[in-house]
Amino acid sequence: MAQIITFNFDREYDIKNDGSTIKLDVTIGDAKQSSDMTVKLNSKKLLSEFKQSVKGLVLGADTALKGSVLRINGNIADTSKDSNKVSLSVKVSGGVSVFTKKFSVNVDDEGETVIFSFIIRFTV
Amino acid sequence: MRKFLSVGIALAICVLCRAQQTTENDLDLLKSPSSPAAQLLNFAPSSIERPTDLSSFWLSVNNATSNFTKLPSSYAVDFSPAMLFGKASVTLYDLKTDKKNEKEKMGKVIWQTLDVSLGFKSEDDTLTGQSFSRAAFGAKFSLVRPSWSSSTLENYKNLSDLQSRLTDAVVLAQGDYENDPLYIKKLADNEKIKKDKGKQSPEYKAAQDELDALQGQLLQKYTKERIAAAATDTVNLYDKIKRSARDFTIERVGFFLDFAGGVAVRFPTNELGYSFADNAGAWLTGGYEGGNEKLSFYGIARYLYQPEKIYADTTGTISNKKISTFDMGTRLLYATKDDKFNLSAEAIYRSVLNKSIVDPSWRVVFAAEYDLGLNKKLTFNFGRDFNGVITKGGNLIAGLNFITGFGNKRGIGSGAAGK
Repeated sequence: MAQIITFNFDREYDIKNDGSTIKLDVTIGDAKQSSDMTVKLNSKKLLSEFKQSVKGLVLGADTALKGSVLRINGNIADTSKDSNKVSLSVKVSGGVSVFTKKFSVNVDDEGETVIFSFIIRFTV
Repeated sequence: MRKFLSVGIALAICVLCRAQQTTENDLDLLKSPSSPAAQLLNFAPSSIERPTDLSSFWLSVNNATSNFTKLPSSYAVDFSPAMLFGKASVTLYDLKTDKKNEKEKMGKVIWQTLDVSLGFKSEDDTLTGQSFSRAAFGAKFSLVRPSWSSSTLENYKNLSDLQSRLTDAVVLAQGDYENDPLYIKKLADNEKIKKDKGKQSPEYKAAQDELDALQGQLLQKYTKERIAAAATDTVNLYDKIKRSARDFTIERVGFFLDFAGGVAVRFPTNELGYSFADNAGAWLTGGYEGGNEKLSFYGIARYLYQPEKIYADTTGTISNKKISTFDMGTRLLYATKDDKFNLSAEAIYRSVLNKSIVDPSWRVVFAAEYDLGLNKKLTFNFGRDFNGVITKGGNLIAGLNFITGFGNKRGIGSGAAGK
């Protein structure tokens, strides 16, 4: 099997521990690409077989998230006939600062698929 | 003798087919432009900039204006606001429409299909030699969009299911790499660096980058293993997705209604305060897209203000100054599933609204074709032409043709049915 392109990170996210709401955004690009995603907070599945971008998903109050681990996994297939660009950005807000991580790649072959795996650990 | 006769008939059919194609091109002339503003300013399609994201849009405007220091001499741009300014990108799922199960909101359709076109051009007046500027704004969007065809929905479901299976493999791979001794050790090492050097230290940031690199390697390794373990045939899951995604095309079936419009403004003295409308156009296109069911019809209504060419004026003698024209046309295409019987009909109406010199005129063309097999086709054409109406008060052209071919059995191509 050919080399698979991956988007990945494993990061800690500092919370304020004052009851602030923590939110998640995952933006899939370019337009017309096909995606699939699973979002899990500890052992609880928040999203499964999700095919769109995630907009402002409320993860909960930061006090409840202390020590929790968020896992986001999925893939993006290049189905767009207009672009070979596959991109993804992750944004977590509500903590000490806003965390943003962006990924982008131009795939060589039409139909090529990028896999992604992210871990976000909530700490004080 | 028979052969000569057949050749003669075949040549006659070729001439008839060409005539038929010319007729169909007449309706194509009414088609809405892909970029209304660029068409009003006579830009070649290849010279239109088409940025797909904000940074390329910014770069395009920046280049055209030399870092915002001057107006461009010639610039046309087309962009989709949904792509450029949308909070979230439009994924393939967002475009999925299955009218049997869901009704699309018109606002969503307009936003997703909206294309804005802008243009600017400096020109020289051939009489006075003075330069003047023209600017144009245009937009096109769908009001009603057809649903995905059943085959498109099925293909999407297959792709979607494969992608969900791949996500399952990635989830399992994540569990694998989190339990990998190398990964566990690297996490512990990083924790120690964080405690010793601090969270903002360059050492910790470098250690995080190393963790990402290790995570990527292990993710790739374990995902491949999970894909191999889940394989049920010789083609693995990853390659199946690649094929399915590469071959995926959207076919839509059902009613549609599209609008396109634009206006060009002239600045004769190159001053913002003095301008007037130069030319303008509006196109409304609607109909039914048959897809595999092979019944399609569509109609176009077009309004133009000061068009470059007046469609109803065949002599080309009328000045276009303050002229408004209204043209419309409709076409119906039908083919049986086995393609044995094809039928097409087309009607066009053209008029000049505020000039009584040219009377409105219209044409109707009907064509049918039946494949008898063994290289034999029966075709029938019937029509009423523009010229007949204007000069003779209407004439009727009718013909019945029989085509036969030579040699082995092969399909005979014909434009008579208007593919």
